Amino acid sequence: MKRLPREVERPPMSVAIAEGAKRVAITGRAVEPEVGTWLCPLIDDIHHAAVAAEHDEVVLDLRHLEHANAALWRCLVYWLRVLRRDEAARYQLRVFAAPTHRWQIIGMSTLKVIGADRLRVEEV
Amino acid sequence: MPCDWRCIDRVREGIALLLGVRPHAAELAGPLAMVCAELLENAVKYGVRDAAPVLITVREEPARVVIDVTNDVAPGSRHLAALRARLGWIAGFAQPGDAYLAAVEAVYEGDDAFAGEGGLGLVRVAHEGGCLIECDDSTAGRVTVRAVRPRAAAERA
Repeated sequence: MKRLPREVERPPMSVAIAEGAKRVAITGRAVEPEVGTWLCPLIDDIHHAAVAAEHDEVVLDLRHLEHANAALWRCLVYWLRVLRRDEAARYQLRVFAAPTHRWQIIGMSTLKVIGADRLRVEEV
Repeated sequence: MPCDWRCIDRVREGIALLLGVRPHAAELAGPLAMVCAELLENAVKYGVRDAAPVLITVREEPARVVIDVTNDVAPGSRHLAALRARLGWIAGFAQPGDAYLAAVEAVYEGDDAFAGEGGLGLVRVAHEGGCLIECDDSTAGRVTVRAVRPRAAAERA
């Protein structure tokens, strides 16, 4: 299995991974046109690490993500697809969203339909 | 704005700042800055490179805010046809939230007919941005995408 990086810097956005893929934080501004070319493979690595470690929860902290383009939303949908289609996966994706970022709340309400019982969203 | 991806975020931030200090517009600043960014992304991604600058105007009217993004397009551009098709698809839903859910489900299932054509961005403009969207390609080689955000009574200046 690949060794997970602690942090991936892609200014103005960064992804921090901690506690053996138990906590992931995306911060800054997601503005890259083809963010999926590197973020989806990273999501795969995080997912596989979480499954191997038999985590029952992975926290995805978006509270300090100021702006995200549609390309980043596609990556989040991709994560839910990977999670829901992997029978070996036990974890629930627990998303921390910022109530001050209204776009997160609106977007997450739709993702909850897709994620069903594998996605929990908390406004904190 | 130059037809350059790196400029989009600065324009988005500038619009958020400007709307944020406008009376009765602060609540709209974040959503409308997102709308501008998504429309500019489409303009840069699908417009003609090294062409005329992308034009963006944000106009406050008493009952609405109007955002126009204009860029050059190649004659017979398939992106223009995809844009029209996507707008027609969105208009077919009773609520923009329904279109948003359908678009996200299509991405989830991997059968998004509009993948790579700015499809999810336009649905965000309609749903998250609360905008009506139309396009005008009556001028040869140019297309304007217009997003209109009606203002609730409490948001009116």
